[in-house]
Amino acid sequence: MNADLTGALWLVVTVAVYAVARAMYARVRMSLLNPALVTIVVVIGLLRLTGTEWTAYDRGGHLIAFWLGPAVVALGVPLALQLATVRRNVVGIATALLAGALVGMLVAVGVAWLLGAPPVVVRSLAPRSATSSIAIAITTRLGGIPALSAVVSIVTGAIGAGLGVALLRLVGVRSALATGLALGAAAHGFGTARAADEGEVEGASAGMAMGVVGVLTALLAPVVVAVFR
Amino acid sequence: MRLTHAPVPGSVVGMLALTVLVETRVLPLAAVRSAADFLVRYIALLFVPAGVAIVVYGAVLRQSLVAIIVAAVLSLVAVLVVVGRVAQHLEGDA
Repeated sequence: MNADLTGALWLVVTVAVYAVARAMYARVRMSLLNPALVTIVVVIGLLRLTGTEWTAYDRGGHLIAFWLGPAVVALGVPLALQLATVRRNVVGIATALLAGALVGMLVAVGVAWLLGAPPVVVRSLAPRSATSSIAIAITTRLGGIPALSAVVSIVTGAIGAGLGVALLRLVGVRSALATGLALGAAAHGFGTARAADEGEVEGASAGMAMGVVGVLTALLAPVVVAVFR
Repeated sequence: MRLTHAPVPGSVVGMLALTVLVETRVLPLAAVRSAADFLVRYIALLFVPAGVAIVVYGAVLRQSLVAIIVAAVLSLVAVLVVVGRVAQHLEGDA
């Protein structure tokens, strides 16, 4: 088959698999059935099954991936709307999120480095606390493996959404605001969806935490990565 | 063109600029809302190709699989605990 046609076909397959995965998730709402994760796994399976090289897939894939940059810029709109709702306790919220962004990155990078992971892997783990779209942008810029950052963000987001509330209660966190901030900061989009199930305060604070921690991680990552070279 | 040498992604700089422009109402919300909502709604589809690219890195990832899992999970737990505890503590002070 003609190469451009193969690329176009994979583009259609990717969108179709995602549409099905999204519909399935809307029915079962199980954290590990994250539509993006399911789509990635199914598409990889189809590539294996048909013996298709990644380069052939990416002729279509890059047409989708192109829109990720504009979509990250677009995250500024929900962030502005959520920031506008913060009226009190601004310093407390900012301190908690800055501490979270720093600790999340230092632990991910430090542990991987101690366990002997190669520098390219260590760099790719720096944006663990950023939502996948921002994590990909960060790792691309730092010269890591964007695919690894994407998958790590998605999987830890799903785990955090599933177990986060129980863990927070275990360490004595009961406040709605603190619960929301922690879920958004640690588990991104899926943590935010889970937080919204808990209540309105939780959902709004989680969405804001996700955006703020994503930006803070992007700003701090170059510094942290330079230290752990 | 590159304004700075800081390795901060352009899209994140753009996100930050858009946040400030919307928050300060220099840019009317109505002008950007529908386009932004559309992109954000389907953002998970947009990073699928980047995730699929993981097939290219099979060898290096298998070698460091344990380090990756341990580092990622500990980072997740650390962020949950730190943000939750610090936020709750400072909320009590307010």
